Amino acid sequence: MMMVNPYNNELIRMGVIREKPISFKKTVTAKYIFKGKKYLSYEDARKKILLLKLDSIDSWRKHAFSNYLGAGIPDNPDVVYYGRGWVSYNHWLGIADKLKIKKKIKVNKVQKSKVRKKIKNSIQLNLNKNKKFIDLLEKRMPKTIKAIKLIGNLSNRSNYEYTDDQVKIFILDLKRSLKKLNKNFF
Amino acid sequence: MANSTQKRDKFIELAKSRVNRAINMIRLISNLANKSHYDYTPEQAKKVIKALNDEVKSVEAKFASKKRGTEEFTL
Repeated sequence: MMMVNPYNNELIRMGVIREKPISFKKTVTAKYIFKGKKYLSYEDARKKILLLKLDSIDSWRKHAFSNYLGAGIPDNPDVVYYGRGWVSYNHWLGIADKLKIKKKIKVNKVQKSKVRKKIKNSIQLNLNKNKKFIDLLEKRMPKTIKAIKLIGNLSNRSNYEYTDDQVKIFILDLKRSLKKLNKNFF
Repeated sequence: MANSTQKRDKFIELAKSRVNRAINMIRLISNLANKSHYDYTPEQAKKVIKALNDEVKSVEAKFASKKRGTEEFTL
């Protein structure tokens, strides 16, 4: 597997690696270690980095190039630890774990909402409550329908006088209350 | 004419009380939408809403069919 390092030019300028084409074999990683400098093992160095609680690769770069990281911790861990336990910057900074947890939570929410929808759609009715609903409806619906029909009787021009605007106003009122009803049910 | 003002007042009075009563009844029915006390299928809810909508539409049609222009006659 070839590893393309985006910082090669910078590293060459700083004298960390040689300009000659380098074979990225695990056996030659020793060449990437800074001349004469010793570094901690990957896991030990990572433990210290995790204490910083950096939340992105960008913030890591800013931190690594502007601060002293401590003895034995490289600011170019991808080079130093290549082939020696290096996984990725996300692993190095402890970001990967967090992302995974977030994804899991999202999946759980989606599953729950799906289950709720299924329950809504299925005929898992609470029969007691449905009976109550039907009983009350059977009492109330005829009354309301009568009440609405009574309004229609007011249209008789020989008994009442009215303008179209008056009619519009109360029909709008009725429709508004029906819209509310619709909202409550769905 | 005193008669026409009487008719007007009667209409306003009755319309107010009847519309308010109807709205109140509709509110009572929408109380039944509370899922913590009652349970219903979407079909049942649709039936209720459709019946009420049809009723209001028929009232609207009644008023619309008796517009003044059709009844007035002038020489």
